[in-house]
Amino acid sequence: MNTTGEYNWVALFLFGGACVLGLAFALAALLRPSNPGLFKRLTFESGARALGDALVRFNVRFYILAIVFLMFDVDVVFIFPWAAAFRLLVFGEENRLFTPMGPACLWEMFVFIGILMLGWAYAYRKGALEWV
Amino acid sequence: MIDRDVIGYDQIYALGPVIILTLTVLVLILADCIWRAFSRHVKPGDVEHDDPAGMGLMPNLVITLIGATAAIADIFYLLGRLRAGGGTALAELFIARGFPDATGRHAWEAGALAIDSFGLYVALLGCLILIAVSLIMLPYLQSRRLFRAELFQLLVLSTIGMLLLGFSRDLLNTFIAIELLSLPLYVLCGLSDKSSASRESSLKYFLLGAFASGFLIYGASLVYGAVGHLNYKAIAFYLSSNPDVSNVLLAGLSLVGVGIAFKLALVPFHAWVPDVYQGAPTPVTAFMASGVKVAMFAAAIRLVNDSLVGLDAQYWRDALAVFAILSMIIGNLFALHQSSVKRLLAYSAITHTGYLAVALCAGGPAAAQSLLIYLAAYCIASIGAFMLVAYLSRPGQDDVYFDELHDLSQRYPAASAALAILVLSMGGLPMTAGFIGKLLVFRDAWAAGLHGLVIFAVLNSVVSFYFYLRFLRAMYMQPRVPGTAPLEAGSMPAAYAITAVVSVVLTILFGVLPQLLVEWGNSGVMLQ
Repeated sequence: MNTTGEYNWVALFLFGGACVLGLAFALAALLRPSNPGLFKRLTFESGARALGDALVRFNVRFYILAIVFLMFDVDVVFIFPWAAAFRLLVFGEENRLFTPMGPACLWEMFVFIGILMLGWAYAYRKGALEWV
Repeated sequence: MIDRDVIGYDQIYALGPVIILTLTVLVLILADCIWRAFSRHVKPGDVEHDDPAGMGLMPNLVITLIGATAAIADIFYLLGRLRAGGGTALAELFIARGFPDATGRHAWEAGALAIDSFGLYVALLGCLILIAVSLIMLPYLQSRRLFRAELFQLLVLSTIGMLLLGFSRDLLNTFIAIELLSLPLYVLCGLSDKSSASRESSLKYFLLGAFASGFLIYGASLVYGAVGHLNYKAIAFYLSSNPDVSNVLLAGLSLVGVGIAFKLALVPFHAWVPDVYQGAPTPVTAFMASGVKVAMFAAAIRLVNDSLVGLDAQYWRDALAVFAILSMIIGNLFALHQSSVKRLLAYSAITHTGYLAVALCAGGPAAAQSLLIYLAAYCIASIGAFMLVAYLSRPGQDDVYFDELHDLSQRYPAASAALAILVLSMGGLPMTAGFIGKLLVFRDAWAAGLHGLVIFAVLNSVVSFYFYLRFLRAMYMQPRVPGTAPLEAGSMPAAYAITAVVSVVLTILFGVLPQLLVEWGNSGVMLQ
């Protein structure tokens, strides 16, 4: 029952967010002058013309950049929960059937980052970061 | 509901082979970085101009061989420790326990990784396969002028996945190990990026492998929903304590089974095998045909022995028996009239999957040992045979066709004799290692009461001799087809020669003195 009650807040949050946004747009529609023209209806309001569609071939360099980005991304994804649970991992907690790891927990993260950094060094050496 | 222990650092030595191979990968990457820092070659493609012999790959090969040898030494050290300790398993890592009852006793307790002698033998096979494939890789790359620096890193990474699969007793671990095994292989299949067959094989393997992984992880999630844990022992405990099997668990287990059957290439999940085996560079095919089979069957027999044996036979054994029968029939039928040697070996691999699935059907510790023996014999034969295909094939073609084999015994008598012996061992001719493996597998299945299945398997292995004997007919009895250019393989590079001699000698040695192989296999006891 308790969890269902907590989800009501989520619903309230969604509802409130929708209200605020809707109010802002409604007010803006009432207040702003409206005189649409040919160029204002283009995709880019700056006036740059949209060419072709989005299904074009992208340069493979973007892919390599994305992979390098992913490396740091994975780094962060693992470091955040580790940092949040660090005290628990090192010292343990009362009433938890859980063996604390002690300071080894810190060195494990260094090993993990070290392996990722080696991958980064390899990518760097291979010229993945050079925009040829 | 479940209390989980973190890995104990006093037991981490049991993962020694895995750690050594991981360090090997790191050293390989570091060596590549340093080599690039001091060398004028910025990209691997540049190597070809200054280094036609591909000697730039030599350091990588040496590091890989040293790493694999060190891992094997560590495996023997661990085996010695295991024997001295007297238990079944050296260590269990990442131990999980069922919730204790009123007396404080745990319903079940098992590690996610069990370092027992079965797992260590699988690891040993994996490291030996790594050594053999790395050895035959260099002359292959030299003859094809393919120089890819990352190749050895990927091979070692894949081997780490094999090692972990042999130890794994937890669905999540199994999934991660399968991914670690497969992801490098997808890249390795597309190694010769100028050949469209190689690219096709890489893409097909990747897409179907991704499907298989999807099935596996979805099944694992359903199992988790039903059991509350992913450990095999937890599944077994759930099965034994709940007489009515829940449909969620059955659905989950069958999806896991489909995922594993994809990787094992059991019919009807075999469609990728011929194209992938044919298109991939031949040493990579050898690695897939031997290493992946060993690791996947190790994972499958662990799943069967640890949890499925508690399940009513109608839920898993009957289905597996149907898959085994289909694999034998389809593999044999399609192999009969293949014109390409690699394709034929691929279909014969499907047939062998069928025979091995017979052992899976039998289940139990004895079946695990017979499986180990069968797989060792099959690996020796298939690495040797694919190596000979790599040696004989024309550089631009990467495959051998049967009409090119005609008259081969006149020009390459040693290579022909070796190929003949190896394919006969695959067929299971007495006095070769393959016979021993088949005999033991069928014996176990017979003892388990699967009489019809065994009779069917024996009949199928008779049929399979038709296409294994086609090699002999082509090489020894048929004159050259007029108008075809003879194969010009040249003299055999040392690495090929070593692999050929070792595989032929082992095949005959284990055939004549089977107790060597059988005693080895029977000491590979799986933790129950």
